[in-house]
Amino acid sequence: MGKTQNFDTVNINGDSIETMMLYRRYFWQKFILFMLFLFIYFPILYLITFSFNNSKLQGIWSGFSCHWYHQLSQNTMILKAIQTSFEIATLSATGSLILAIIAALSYEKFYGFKKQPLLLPLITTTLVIPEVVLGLSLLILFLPITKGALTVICAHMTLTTAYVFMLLQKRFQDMDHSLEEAALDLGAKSYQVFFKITLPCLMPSLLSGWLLAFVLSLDDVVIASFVGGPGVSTLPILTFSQLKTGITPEINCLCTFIVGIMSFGLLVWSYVLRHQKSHR
Amino acid sequence: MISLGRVVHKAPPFVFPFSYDNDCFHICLNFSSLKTLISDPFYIRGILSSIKIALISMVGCLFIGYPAAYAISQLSKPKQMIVLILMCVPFWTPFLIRVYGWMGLLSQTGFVNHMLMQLHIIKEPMIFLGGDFGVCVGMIYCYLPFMIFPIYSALSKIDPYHVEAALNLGCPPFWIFMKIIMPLSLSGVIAGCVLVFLPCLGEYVIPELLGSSDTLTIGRIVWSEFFINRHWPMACSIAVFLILLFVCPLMIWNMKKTKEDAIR
Repeated sequence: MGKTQNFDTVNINGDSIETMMLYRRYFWQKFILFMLFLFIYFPILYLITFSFNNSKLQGIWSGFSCHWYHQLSQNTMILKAIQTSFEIATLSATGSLILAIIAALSYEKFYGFKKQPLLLPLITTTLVIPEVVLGLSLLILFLPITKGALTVICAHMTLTTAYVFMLLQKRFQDMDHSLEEAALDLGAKSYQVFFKITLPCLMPSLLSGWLLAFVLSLDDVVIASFVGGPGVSTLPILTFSQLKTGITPEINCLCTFIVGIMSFGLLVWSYVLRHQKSHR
Repeated sequence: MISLGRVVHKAPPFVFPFSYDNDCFHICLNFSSLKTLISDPFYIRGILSSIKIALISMVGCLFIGYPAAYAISQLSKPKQMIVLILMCVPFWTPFLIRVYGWMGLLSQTGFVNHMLMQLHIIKEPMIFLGGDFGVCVGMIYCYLPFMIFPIYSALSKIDPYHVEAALNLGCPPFWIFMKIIMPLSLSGVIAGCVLVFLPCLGEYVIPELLGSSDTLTIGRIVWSEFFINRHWPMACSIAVFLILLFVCPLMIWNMKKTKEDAIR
């Protein structure tokens, strides 16, 4: 960025140098953001446009049709996989949320505990462990158990708990703890304090943590294929095997649906956030 | 929980496939696979090439992510929120589908080749897929937010008065960037680099879909050792190697840093 502001206008007085710098700055800012969004959105827009394509070939436009949507609605394998995926994602997100709440609470209680600085890095490094390594180690851990949906749920919980914990812990630190103390002073039982004050205070991050865990679990191929037995075919595993074998325009349609749902969800979510803020 | 998993997969009895007998035998086997890992040029080549790919994608992410994060941090607060939310939408869609999008874009009959041919920049369609280029593009695309968010949070914490003071004292903008903004955002840059580099190193899906069978990465080697060769000890020793070489130093460094922060 600095380089772009390096002006070469020597013989202009100070005032216009400043305005010129400002102008250039805004230009570069807009340019960079534009390029960024182009880069980010282009593949997805491409997929969405080609989901309406008539031909089976990706990249060759041969007229508008909803043919592939019809195909998708007939494809019981994909529909079944969607259902399995959603079940697994819901359960594992809920599980990891509960675990993360417990972890964040107890982490906070240990505040001032001598070993505390060692705990957080232990959790944060799990975020960067490659998926393959995690999948392999979890598989070996689950070796005595029969593989199936349950192991996939457990594996996804280990994957997502760290993320949710990070979110919750941040929020928990910023929380106003005097409310809890006040409630305790006024004679509330500790479980009452937890359910009536702590949880509602954490609500926004609980929701976003749950969503994050849900999406992460919905997204995962590697761990699910390591840990899941032959019976469990989640949506990512199915998509992955189909992508490897050949071109499947139904996936385009699926993408359109998912992007639609996601953007709708995010819109609602940001609306709720704004509403809450103005409420306070 | 995960640290438990890591300890377990180092344990030899579990590593041996399908049986739990003689203890001594297992240890022998483990050594042999470790030895092949070190001596066989195939694995070394794979590890080196995956380090190369991860480094390229990390630098690429940095070059795209830093200006982007800077541009976002210069916006007004409500606009920042909107831009960040908009940035999240594509990254909340399954990443397989995003990779599929790039497969379509970069293929020989795909959009990029089509555009370049139309503009008469190239005559023959270029082959993007099946090499390191496609893999790097895919990785940069998928891991970009992991770079942007830490840098953005570091940049948005910088006090604008520092910059103003330097401007008043007649510091040219380039040196303001080098002497103030760069050092203050360094922690974000390091965090972003780690968050991009390590997952890229073990990535399996992107090289499988965007690369050819020649593009070796650690993730693919582990996968093929595990699922195709059925050589579990080998797969595990590669995983242990990966952890020892990259994750452990990071963990120790991270712990030291948190301890220092706690003392302060």
